[in-house]
Amino acid sequence: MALLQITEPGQSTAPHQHRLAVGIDLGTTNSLVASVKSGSAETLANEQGSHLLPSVVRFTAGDEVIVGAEASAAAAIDPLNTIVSVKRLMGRGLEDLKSLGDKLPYQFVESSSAMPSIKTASGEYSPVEISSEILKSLRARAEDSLGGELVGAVITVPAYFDEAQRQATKDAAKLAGLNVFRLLNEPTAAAVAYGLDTGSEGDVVIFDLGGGTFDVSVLRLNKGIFEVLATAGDSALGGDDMDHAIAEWIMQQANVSSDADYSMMRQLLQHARAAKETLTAQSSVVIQVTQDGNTIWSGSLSRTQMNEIILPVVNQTLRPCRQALRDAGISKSDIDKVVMVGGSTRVPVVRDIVGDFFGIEPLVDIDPDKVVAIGASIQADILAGNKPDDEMLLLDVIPLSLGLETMGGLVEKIVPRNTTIPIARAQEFTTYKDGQTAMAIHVVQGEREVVDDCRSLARFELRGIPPMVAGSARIQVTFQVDADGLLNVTALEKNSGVVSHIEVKPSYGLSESEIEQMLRSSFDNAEKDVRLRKLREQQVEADREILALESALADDAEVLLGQEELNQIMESLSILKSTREGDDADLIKQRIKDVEDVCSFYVERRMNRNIEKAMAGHSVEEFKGE
Amino acid sequence: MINEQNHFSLFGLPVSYDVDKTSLTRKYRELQKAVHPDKFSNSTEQERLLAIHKASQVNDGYEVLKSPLRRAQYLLELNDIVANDNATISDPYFLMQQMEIRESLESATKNTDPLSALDEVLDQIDAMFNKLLSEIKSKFSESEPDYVAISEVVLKLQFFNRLKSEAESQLASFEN
Repeated sequence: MALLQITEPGQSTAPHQHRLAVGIDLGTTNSLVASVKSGSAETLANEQGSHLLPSVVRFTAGDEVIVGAEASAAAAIDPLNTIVSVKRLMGRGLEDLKSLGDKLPYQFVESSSAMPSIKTASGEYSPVEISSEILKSLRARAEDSLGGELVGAVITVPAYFDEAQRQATKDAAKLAGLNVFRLLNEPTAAAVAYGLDTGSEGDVVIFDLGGGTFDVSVLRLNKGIFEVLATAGDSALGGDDMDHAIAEWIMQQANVSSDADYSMMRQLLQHARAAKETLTAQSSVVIQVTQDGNTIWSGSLSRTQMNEIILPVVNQTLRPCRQALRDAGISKSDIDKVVMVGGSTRVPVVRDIVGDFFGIEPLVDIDPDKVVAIGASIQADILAGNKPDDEMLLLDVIPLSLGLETMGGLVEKIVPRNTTIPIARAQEFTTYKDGQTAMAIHVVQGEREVVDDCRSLARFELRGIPPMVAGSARIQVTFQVDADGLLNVTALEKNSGVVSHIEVKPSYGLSESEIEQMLRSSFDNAEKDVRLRKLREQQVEADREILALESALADDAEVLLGQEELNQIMESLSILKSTREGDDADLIKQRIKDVEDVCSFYVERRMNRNIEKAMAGHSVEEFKGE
Repeated sequence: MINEQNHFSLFGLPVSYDVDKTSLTRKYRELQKAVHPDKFSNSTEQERLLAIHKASQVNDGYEVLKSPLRRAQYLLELNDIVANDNATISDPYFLMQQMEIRESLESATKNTDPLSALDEVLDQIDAMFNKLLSEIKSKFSESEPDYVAISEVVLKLQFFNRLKSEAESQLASFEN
């Protein structure tokens, strides 16, 4: 976590200062960055004035990395080195990619990690690294535009992203040097943008059809709280599928053979997308297919024809809508508003079908391309601490059930889908052999009953179980899902109190050490001295600890601490402060730990006081009730 | 279960089967405003971890307390009675009901209009489920609740719950 705070030590911002934070919509087709500037949230443009950054990355033979429109323009001439829609590859294994294979021109190579890489003219890159290039470009844009370093970012993900896809996104942000405040679900971000705009209350459906993903969420809005009741979707359904359907139609019309080369395929896709966009406003469009500079086919496509071609794609969105309503326990008539998000909702037939389904005219007031980034920036502004009194709170859910592999390859669900997060579930295991000291746990995500039909998230190996007679060890494994939807697993042998060591093998992700390795190589030019970087990280971490603790003490030390207790805390704090000025990274780390140890009772008291304060408003009514 | 603190006391509620849903929801929201990790984005790492832990507890408690079945199970648990999932029920009337529903579920899937047929079965299940719930409610309201008798009803509710999720997944697969 601390790896990326490379701000100059001692630069910690005073609380009253406006802290620069952004919301980033890392999209399949386009990405955006937004920020709250003097009270209003807006997306940030590049020097040419464009807000959308095409999510396209090109790696040239000269080791140059090009991101955005310029890369996009090269997609047809240099398809193998120009990666589009990388979001579809996030958190996926080689097998998944092969199933997408016929649509993707890239050369996938198996790498030493669980995550496949793409072979390009300047080397092999994983989807995480490719995404981080997009994020780096947005970060640079934001820092130029806002005139300073960012303290953090909220990055949006499709609500339907599984844990591996979320982790991959967070890893990409780390590689891009961003401090991630939160991974926020795209529909929730959109609801924030709409909710704050209109101050609305009630039950709202967010219909989010992007380039490559589809999400639908049902939210209940009440006094600044955005409570997600249910979410459903398809992480591989979007405008890209419409483009492919239209491209296939052009292919048939133009008699292009299905084994045409990549640049022809790319050209057809570009025609398809352009036709789709034109047909949102016009009733027909003329398409021209060229080869070696000569027109080989020219014809027209009407909106009615196109609607027919893409209807199967659009209809696929309705099943998740039904499921989300059912899981939320409400019916269509309870819905107060339907909000359209994502560029693909510009297609008129999408609006028609969704409007018919819910029986309400969908809202399209905020630009569907920008609404997610805007919502994310509003939350980033709050999480940065710029609005200490804001009442807003986002309560999200886990989109897919978490389960464990049991005997016979079956799945036992431990956290059902649409459970509000954060959530923790503990499960007890025992040994089946005398003296057994290790045990394997396989965590999967999905709704099916057979392990092979779910997504494998990770295999955990518990070691260091004290040797005992078979069946007498009681190993409590706790599965903690945080507010980002990321999983953390801890284990404890209950008889002995021994904390087992857990080794995580992500099924499709990068391990901690791989991330560190990537970071190291990316910093090689900027910072040759690894030791110096480690020291800086610890100093930043220490500063963060000191700042947070001092502000807590100013807040409530008088109420919560006796003189002796306060003295102890102050002493450990002053030791940390002086150690921080030295150059021993490990010692600083130890001193931070010391402060935490001394403060653990204080932190607990603070939390309890928060709870008491929250409940105090109810005490009067409680007396009446009893 | 991760609960050092009893769910009822966490929500400042008396230990009772009767829970006022409106006030439960209001307290849930107040509690989350106080403990949610997003409220600690600038705090120490230690405090953020504690917030994740507390917010998980609040979510877990809310889920248990708002569901009539899970609330009953939880109250049994507090009274050291475990409604065993693998136990069998010998009540002949109940067994007959179960069989009938299984049959109508089966035939619904072969119906020409499986969606409405399944909806009907679900309505049937809901009706029986709600009848058992009111039975539980009245048993809990007795001055000396018979927990063993309650646990038998809870067991029946669990059976209906399973039928319900089967019917729902059938419904979902037909909507596909």
